[in-house]
Amino acid sequence: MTNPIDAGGAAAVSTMPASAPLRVRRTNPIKEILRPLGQLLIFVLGSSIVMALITVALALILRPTRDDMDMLQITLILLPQVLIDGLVLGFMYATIALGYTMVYGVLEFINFAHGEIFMFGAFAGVELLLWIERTNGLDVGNLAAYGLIIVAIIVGMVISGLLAITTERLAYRPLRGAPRLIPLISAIGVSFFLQDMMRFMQSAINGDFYRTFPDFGPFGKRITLFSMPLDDRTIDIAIQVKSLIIIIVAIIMLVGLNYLVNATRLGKAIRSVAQDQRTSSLMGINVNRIIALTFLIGGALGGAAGVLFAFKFTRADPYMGFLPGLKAFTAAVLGGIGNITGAMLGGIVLGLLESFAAAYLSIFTNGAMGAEYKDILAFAILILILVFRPSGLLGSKTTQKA
Amino acid sequence: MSEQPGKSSGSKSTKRDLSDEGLITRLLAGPLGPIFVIGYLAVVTFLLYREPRALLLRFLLFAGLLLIYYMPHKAWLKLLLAGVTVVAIIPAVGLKNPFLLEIGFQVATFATLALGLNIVVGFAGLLDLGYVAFFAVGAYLWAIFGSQQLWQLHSSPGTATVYNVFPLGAWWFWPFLIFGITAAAGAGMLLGTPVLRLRGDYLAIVTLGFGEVIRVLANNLDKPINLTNGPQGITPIQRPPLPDFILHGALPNWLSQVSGRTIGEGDMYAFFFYFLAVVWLVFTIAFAGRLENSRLGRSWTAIREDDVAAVAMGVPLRRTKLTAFAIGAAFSGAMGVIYAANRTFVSPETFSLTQSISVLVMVILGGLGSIPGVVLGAAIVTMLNIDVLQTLSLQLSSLRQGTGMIPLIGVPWAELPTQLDPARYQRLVFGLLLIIMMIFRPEGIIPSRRRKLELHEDDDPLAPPADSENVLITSTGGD
Amino acid sequence: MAPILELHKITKRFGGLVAVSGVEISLDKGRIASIIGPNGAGKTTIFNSITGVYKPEEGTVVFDGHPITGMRPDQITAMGMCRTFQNIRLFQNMSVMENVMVGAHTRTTQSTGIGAVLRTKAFREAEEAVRLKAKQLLRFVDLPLGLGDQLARNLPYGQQRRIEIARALAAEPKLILLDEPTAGMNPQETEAAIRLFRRLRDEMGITVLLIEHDMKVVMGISEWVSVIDYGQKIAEGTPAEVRKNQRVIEAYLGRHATVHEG
Repeated sequence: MTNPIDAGGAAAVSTMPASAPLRVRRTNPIKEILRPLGQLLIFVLGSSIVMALITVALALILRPTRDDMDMLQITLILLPQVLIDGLVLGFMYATIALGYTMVYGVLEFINFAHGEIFMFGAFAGVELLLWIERTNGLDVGNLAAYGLIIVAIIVGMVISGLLAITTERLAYRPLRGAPRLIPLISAIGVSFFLQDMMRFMQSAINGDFYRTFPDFGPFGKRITLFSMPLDDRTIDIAIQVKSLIIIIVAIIMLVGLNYLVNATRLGKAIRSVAQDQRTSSLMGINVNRIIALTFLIGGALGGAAGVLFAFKFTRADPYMGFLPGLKAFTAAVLGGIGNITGAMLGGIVLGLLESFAAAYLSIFTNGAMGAEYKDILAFAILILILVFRPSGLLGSKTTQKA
Repeated sequence: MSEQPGKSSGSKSTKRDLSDEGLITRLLAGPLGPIFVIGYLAVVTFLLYREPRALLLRFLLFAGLLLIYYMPHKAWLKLLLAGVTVVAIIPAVGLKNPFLLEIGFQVATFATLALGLNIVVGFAGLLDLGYVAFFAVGAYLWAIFGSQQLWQLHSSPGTATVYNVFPLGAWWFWPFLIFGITAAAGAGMLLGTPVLRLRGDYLAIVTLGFGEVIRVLANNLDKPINLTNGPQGITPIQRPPLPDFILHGALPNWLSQVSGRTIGEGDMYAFFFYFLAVVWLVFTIAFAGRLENSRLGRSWTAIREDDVAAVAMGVPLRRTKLTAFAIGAAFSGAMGVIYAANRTFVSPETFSLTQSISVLVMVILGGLGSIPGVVLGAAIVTMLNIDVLQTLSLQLSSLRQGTGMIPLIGVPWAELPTQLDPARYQRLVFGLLLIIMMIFRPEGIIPSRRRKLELHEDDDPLAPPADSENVLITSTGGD
Repeated sequence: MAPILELHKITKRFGGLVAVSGVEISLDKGRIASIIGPNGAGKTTIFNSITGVYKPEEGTVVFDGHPITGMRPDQITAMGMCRTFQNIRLFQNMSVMENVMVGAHTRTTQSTGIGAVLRTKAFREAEEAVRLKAKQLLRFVDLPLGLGDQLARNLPYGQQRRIEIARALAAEPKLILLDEPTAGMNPQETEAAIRLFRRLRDEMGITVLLIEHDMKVVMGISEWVSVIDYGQKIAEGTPAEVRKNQRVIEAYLGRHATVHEG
């Protein structure tokens, strides 16, 4: 039996001394918000520090191999920006990874089409903003601009959530008893179908198959965090407003999901279905409805991530879901599939790894391996994890009885 | 074979009981069957010769092969008819329209790939989503050694001079068939070793990753040494040398006279590669079929059914799975070499995920674990890819140039955006096919007997009557 | 005579749970012996530890003089030990004949891959030999004629049990482990099964080790009985001795139970 959705420990505990009345402690909502925040902080700090140390160590070791630059200096100069980019990416991957991990926790099924759910959300948000743009609605002040982004994200979430439920109903539910590979193949079919479906829709609507995220509001501005004096220059470490928004929204999503799963009745129902479907239904839980809701929630998260992705990279195309989807899946496995906390950790770690690889691979290997290799980095990690530690970083080792 | 009560023993002379065979088979029974089929083939061939570009007729010709398959007659008769179709009819029509040879070549190529994947997925039950990587290994192997790439290892893509000679003679193609097999098998074992302990869905994702890794490597191994020439691909790649009378001499001249158009070197090579691919396909079919009915084939089925029990019976799990991987990969490797030589050009784009999935669709559409099913699936998907979608695309093009209106919508064809091109929507078709097949007919069009029963457990009405329980009757008669 | 199977201090843990602890068993060649005990006592775990499905945390298993702890199940089968399963694990979608032929995997080394492809004489002869042996084994376990091509899952329970034994016999074992082979059988079937087990030893020279719940079988056929409770061996001896052992009675019936001889 693999990990059910592991909420990370906030179960209600009852103490039963011999003659005292039964008392059940309620879950403290404030705690349920602070705990994931705390975990995120630890993950972020921990992985950042570890990655930074490893990179600096590598720079020191490999320093003599290049005489056209001082590797250590370049490394240090790039480091803060790489960290920030990595975190932004990591939070996005974490949000997508949650969708995978939730569905896997409940059904033991890898929703191959989750990347396409993410992609549809992105397009939904972009189309909305473009429509507003056509009515000159984007020419607004800063506060309204933030509001528009929020609206776009919500629209993305709704569309993706609905799409997820629909695919579950049409393509997965009929296959629920079948041998494991059958729904997986169906999911591959859904993934391919959705990709070209979006392409078709886009080609019919706008003649081309991709869209550009409209430029508006104060998002491109850079806020300087601090300045580093270096030799005779000062390097400004800045973060784009855009990136800040992405991080904040992602944190809200992650904390919100944690709260939902740990502190609400619905969350409890989801956890119980994840543990044991049959018993849950015997306890009066409508398993089909819970599964549909899980897809809804996971899909909505994917949709939000999609809008954020399009926001950051300013482009939405029908094939944009494939790589991030695969990477987010790797993140989920890295953290321990089925484990929500693990998905967050995995996402952050993977985002940092990718950012570091993109920046430093070329430098460290003297041009032999460039940033293009960062994409297969995720696959390499996936293979390594599955071979050496298939339960992931936070998963528990499962022992099997034959 | 053990005796069944009620059926006569002895295989050669009895009338087959056709009551549980399909409709087509029953219609074709008796002496009229072969006569009909021969007549059908004759008519289609004649029409195709007159109108070589007709999609429907091409389709009907291939459907004729399917009819031959379903005929409930002696094997030698079926083989004879099929042989004539493949060896004589198709090349003859190909004389008029070389596109038919191209279809034949591609069908044979992908049928071989699909058979290889069938061994991995259908026999051993391992879902490999990166299967195209082995094809790439074979193709790039000959691409690198059969072109001038060896002289260009230190020049970046696009900067090298093209010479008139090559580092290796073109006849090296033949030994490289063997090398391709070996290299692909080696890659298969390399991939298999860490990956085979994984459970089904994880295995699928990891193999998918591996396929992508190969593609990215092919795309990027142009520095520090230029091994694959990056996204531009490698060209020109040599073809094996053929004797002069085939390429320039008596044979093409005669063929030109017969067909009424000039038959050049390119056409002769088209014939050559068609036959080569068909020969390799036949070999693969025989190979796979014989493996299926051997101890190895039984081991694969056993581990697919219940690997714990299989191991307890002495089947070495790791080694058996690895063998499946290696053999499946080997078929692709050889085909890769042939493909590279035919195209004289390879690029990373040919070896994408879509390609791996399309081979998977072939296997699933046709019938997982079923050799004839897989060949049929390959034929359907290939024709879909290179023929049907293209033809639709062309027709749409001509509609666009006209002045007609789309029915029901009332918008002129001409305003349809050019991006809306059926040829680019393979993924849509594949996706739909996969979903529909999984829900309605997961065992495929021509299922292997086993799969059909596996996947429809609840509707199997068979069970011997309860009183055969009577244990103590021992045999008295001969065995 | 040297024992054919020896278990020294076998201990198997699953995470924090100790399933089997310090079990010592010694089985002489040519015996028919049983392992009994209440449900959940750890009997199948012991079987799994012997056959290589589990690797015991502590202890050693010695088979026919060779230490086999930690070897893979297929290696152990090749050495001459085979087993059946508590819940029948036939290959459901393979025919009866095919099931038994798979059992012969370790003994059909002539039926190689290359031979299969080339259809060499050696291959064809080997295949014929396997087929013949399978038929003989099916007859040995008293399966009615003509069922060879039936799918395993279409056959009734009792026949499936016997096919599983035939499959295990195809591996030409010196020692056969039968895990609750009479579970779910009616009295006539059980009688027939007991006769079969005896024939395994008498006609084929195989040492038989059973896990059993049915006391009639245990008392009727075993020459030696080991009793397991909570993962430990609590008694051992001839059936008559074990049956009178107070600890054994308690294990089955509870602390203050007594059994009235009648």
